[in-house]
Amino acid sequence: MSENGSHLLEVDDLVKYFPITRGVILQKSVGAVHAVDGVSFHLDVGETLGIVGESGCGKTTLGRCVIQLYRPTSGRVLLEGTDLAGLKGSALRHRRRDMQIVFQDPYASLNPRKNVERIVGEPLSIYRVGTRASRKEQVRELLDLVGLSPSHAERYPHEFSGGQRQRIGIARALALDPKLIICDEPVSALDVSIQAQILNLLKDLQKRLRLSYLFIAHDLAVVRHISHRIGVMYLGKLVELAPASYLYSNPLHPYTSGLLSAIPIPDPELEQARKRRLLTGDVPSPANPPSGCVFHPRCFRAQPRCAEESPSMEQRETGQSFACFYPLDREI
Amino acid sequence: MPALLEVHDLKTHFFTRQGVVRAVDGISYDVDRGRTVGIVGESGCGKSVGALSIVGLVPNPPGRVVAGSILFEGRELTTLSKREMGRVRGAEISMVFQDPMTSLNPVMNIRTQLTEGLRFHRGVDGHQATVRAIELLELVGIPDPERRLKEYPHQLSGGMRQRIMIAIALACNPKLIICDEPTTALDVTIQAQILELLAELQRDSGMAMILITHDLGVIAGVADEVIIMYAGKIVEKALTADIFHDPQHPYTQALLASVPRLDEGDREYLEAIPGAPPDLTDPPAGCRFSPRCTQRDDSCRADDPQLMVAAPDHWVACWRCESRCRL
Repeated sequence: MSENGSHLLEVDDLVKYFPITRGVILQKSVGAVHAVDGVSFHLDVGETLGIVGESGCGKTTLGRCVIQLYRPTSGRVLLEGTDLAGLKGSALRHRRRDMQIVFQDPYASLNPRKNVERIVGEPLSIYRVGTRASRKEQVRELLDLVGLSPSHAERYPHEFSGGQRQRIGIARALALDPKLIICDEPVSALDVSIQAQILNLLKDLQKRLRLSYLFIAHDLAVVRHISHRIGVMYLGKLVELAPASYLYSNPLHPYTSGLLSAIPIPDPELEQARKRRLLTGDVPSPANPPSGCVFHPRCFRAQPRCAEESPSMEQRETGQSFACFYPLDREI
Repeated sequence: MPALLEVHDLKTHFFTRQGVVRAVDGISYDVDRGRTVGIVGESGCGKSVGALSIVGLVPNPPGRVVAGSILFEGRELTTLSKREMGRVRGAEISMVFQDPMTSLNPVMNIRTQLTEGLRFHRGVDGHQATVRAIELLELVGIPDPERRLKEYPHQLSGGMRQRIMIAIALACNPKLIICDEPTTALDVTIQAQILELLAELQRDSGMAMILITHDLGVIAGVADEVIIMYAGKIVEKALTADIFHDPQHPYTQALLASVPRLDEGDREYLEAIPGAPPDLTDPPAGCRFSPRCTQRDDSCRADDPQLMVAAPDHWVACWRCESRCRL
């Protein structure tokens, strides 16, 4: 917590529905995709909160709602106490300086027609920071900060490898000296040997610049490595939120344990000796989520109650919270 | 008895405007009957091109097998005509590709795609083919197979499509199945289901499998032997347990150390491998890993190391391991 007792970021009951429409001219709404459905969490200065989940669980939408690339359907996003969801125009633009995003695909997120100097310097020129000459100098400092050579400033994205491109994306995100960076699958497009370089860079930058990360990824091993706390999402809902070590050693939600046991460990003996709890079936459509607890059709502990009522978040003293009527350490 | 598949000094090059890309540059390995061989490497290391060369699917032009031999049950595959290759592919050797979204035909129903191989290779058609198709769908764990036969790929989830791909590959009871990143496009819970299925099918049918992946975790649970590739060459080859517990090549060691693990304690930094894989139109002299290697010395730059025996069933291509090795 910061000095005044509040968190850097507080998300409160965030909801984002995307309407499904029919018809070409007279479009009418025939339903909604429940992409994010009542998610609450907070994030402190210098902390990393990991968000994991399978594809379609709403983790990317969540990140985009936080930074207001999508406007939430309801709920609040408080950055240092200011509700971003209520801001518009220049007031929003002013607050957005403090938040930046690093995207998954370093090939698609850099404009191929601009050189690195313009890409990294773009946030600076948008916010009219300094003079042209000072911006040029700043870009070179940023490149140095992310492990690229200042001489790279004249080059174009196609001249770089995937890992280097992701460094450019990170330099751009750092340009305005933000407090919060949303990392949306920043390493999943990279090879393992390069992935480690980028993860180390992110950790290093966090220490030096006191950054907070909302780190969104599907790879639980990567998220565990970088995060202080981890939130597990399933079908638009946060089903468990816990300190990283607890989540791994003592998962409470059945989905978390299913997810953990599905992840292969690079050790043949451990791998073959493991007791697996394979989740059966597929993730249901978020346009038509199941009744009650959204996980109950795939859950190995489901009881009749789970199909009727939706569990709310329960908090433990250890800092773990979970949304389940029958957590793994409780008898059915 | 000779091995089911013997690849010897295979070279597959691509002739592009930028120059000759040596995607696969002299690899040799065997696959025995009923065994699973894992091939691991980063993107661009030649692991997929090596596999495509076996079944004659390297796009030509620009690619071509320029040297080496591939013996399948003693029969040379590299010199077969297109027609002859077509008789082998799908019948005796079949493939499962990475992306189940693009490798199924969107305008053909599941039944037609499942039975295509049976009609072509075995001349089975009509009712008999349908019976076999239902049997195959049951085998790969698809509920309600009769209904699924009439459906189209877009009506199925990613995991289901990959099950269909596997069913197609199994249709003619192949002796060897090559899976090229079969679970990379899938979510982890679905990946676990598919890996379990592949292992089970292989156990029951006794077919051999080549599993290509970049994920060391996937290999650990499934493969009997592991081949590590880097920049078009095999750098290490050993039984699975030896690769993980006693890796010899600096690249294998670095690769294992660079992956974050779920069961690790709190590790502040990962041991990243500096730099990036080389450009294969102009690979570095000597050992191709030497520019990124922390253990290199002058001999590494001078000469290209060949695979040497480091221990029984354990080969490694590294000058630093030479003192422990026999050629």
